[in-house]
Amino acid sequence: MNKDIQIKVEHVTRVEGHGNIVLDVKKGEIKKLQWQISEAPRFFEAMLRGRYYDELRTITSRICGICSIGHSLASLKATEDALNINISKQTAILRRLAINGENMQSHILHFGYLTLPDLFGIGSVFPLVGSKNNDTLLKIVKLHRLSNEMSDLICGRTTHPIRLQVGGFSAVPTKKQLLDLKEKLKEGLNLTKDVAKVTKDVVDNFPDFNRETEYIALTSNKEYAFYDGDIASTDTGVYKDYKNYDKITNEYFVPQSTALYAKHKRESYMVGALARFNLNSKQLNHVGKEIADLFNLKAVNYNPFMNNIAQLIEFAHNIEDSINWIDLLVENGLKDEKPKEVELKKGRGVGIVEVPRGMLIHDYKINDKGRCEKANCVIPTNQNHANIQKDMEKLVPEILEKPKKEIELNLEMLVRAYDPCISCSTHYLDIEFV
Amino acid sequence: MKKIGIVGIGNPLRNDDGIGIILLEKLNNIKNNISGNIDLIDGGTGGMNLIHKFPLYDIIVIIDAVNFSGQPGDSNIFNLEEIVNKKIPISTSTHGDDILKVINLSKQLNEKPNRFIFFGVQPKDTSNGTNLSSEIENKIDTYLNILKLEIKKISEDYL
Repeated sequence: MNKDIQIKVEHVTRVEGHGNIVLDVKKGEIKKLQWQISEAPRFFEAMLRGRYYDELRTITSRICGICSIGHSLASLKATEDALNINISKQTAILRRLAINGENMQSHILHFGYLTLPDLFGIGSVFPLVGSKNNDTLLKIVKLHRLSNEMSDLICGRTTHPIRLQVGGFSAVPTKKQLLDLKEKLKEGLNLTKDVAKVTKDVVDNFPDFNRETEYIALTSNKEYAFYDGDIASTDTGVYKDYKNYDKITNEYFVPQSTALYAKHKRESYMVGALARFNLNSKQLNHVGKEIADLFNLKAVNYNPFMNNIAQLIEFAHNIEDSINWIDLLVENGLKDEKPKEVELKKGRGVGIVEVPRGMLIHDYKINDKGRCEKANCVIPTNQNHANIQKDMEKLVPEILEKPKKEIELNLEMLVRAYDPCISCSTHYLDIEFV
Repeated sequence: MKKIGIVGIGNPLRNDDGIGIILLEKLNNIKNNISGNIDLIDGGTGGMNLIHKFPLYDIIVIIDAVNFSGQPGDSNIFNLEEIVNKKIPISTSTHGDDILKVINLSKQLNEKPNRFIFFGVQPKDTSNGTNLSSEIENKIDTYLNILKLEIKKISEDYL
C-alpha cells in the first residue's frame, strides 16, 4: 500500500460544537492524524467566582443546552456537600426522575437523529421521511417528545430546569400528572423495543473495531448509577475518595485543542454509556437486559461504536426505572416539601453525577458569606478526547485500504459514537501576543 | 382567538438566507402593534425540534428565504399545498426542503396546526457573510407591513 490520502473534516457534523479530523498519509505512512477541538472556550468557572451559593446552579445549567439538568444536579450536590445539607427521600427520587428524563432526551436525540442515518447509509435524518423507515422515525419523534415532557413535568422546563433548588424542589408534580406520565412511559417501552428490533437489522454497519482501554463511571451497589455512586474504573476498581477526584481525571493540555484532555491508568480512558454499561451492566433492569441481550452486548465491550447501542439500552432502562420510581412516589404519597433551610458555613463540596456523555464533576469552594471562591468543572467530553485520538490511531491503519470517502465516514462515525458535546468541554485558549 | 406561531428560518451567517431570522427580530420589536395571538419562534435552520412546537398552534407562518424565480427582494405568500403539490416551482433556499419534511412528519402525527403559510423572500446572495443585499435591506419595512396585514387577516379569518 503506497497511497497518499489527505482528509480534513472541518467541522464534523451531527455532533454538538466544532471539532476537526485531520489525516495526512504519504506513500502509505501516516504523517499526521489528529482529533482537533477548535471551539472557543467559555470561562464558566471564572463566572462563578463571587456568586452566591444559590446562583451557582442557575449559572452552570447554562453550560449546556443538552445536559442542563445534569449540570444542575452536579452543581446542587457540590453546593449541598459544601454547606452540609441533606435532602429528603422524596427529593432524591425526584432528582433520579430528572436525571432519567435528561438521559432519555439526549440519548434518543443522538441515537435516533444523529446515529441511525449512519446505520441506514444516509447523510441526515431527513431522508427517512417517506422512506421505508418512516415508521421508525415517527416512533423516535414520539420517544423524544415523551422525554421532553418528562423533563418538563419534573423540572418545570424541558431545558434549563427551574424547580431544582439547593435542598429540594420549588414545586413537585401532582399524583395525577405522575400517573399520566407513567402510562406514556409504558407505551414508550413498546416503542423502544420496536426501534431496537429495527436497529438490530443494521447494527453490523458499524465498523468491526476493538481497542482495549480503561472505562470510568460511577458505580453503586444499590442501582445502575446515574445520580449517586462511587467513581470506578475497569482497570483499578472502586475509588471512594471523591473529593480527590483529580487523582482519577488528571486533566492536561494539548496544543491541538481548546479542551482539556484526561488520563488515568493508561494513556486515555472512556466515559459515557458504554463505560457505565461495562461497569454496571449487572444492575440493568429487566428491559435494559432484554435490549442488551438482543444485541448480545456483554461487559467488558471494547468497541467504541457500541456506545450507541449502550445508549439505546440505557434509554430503555431509564424508562422502566422511572416507572418504578413513580410507583414508589405515589405509594408514599407526594408531600409539598419546601427546600431545606440553609445555614451558611465555609466549606468545599464536590458533586458527581452521570450525565448522558459520562461522569460530570462540579467542585466548589464556598466562603462563610455563602459566596463561591473557586470552582472547577470536569466535563465528560474532556475525558473522552484523548480516547477518541487513540481510537483513531488504531482505526486508521486498519482501514487504510478503503476508499478515501469510506475512511472519512468511518472516522466521522467514530467521533459521533462518542456523542461529544464539544462546547461544554472547552476550557483553554493559548493566545500568543506579538 | 386562534393561536399563531410565527417561525423565522434561516442562517444569518449566509447573507440573505438570514432574512427569516432578521424579520423575526424586527417583528419582536413591534410585537405590541400586531393584532393577533402570536408567538415568535426562532426556528434556526429548520431542525427536528420544530416538530414539538408545531402542535401548540392553530396556524404556523414560516418566514424564510425562498427561491421562487422572482427578482431579488421580491416577496410572496404561499400556502403549504401550493408548495407540496409543486404548483409553484420553488425551493426553500440553502437548507433544502428539510422544513417540508418536518411538516410532513407533523402531519403524519395527525396534529395541529391545521394550516401552514409561507412568507418567502427571494434571496440574491446566500454565500458566507452577514450582510443583506440592498434589494432586501431596503424592503424590510415593506415585508413587516405585509406580515402585519397577513397576520391580522388570518386571525380574523379564523375568529
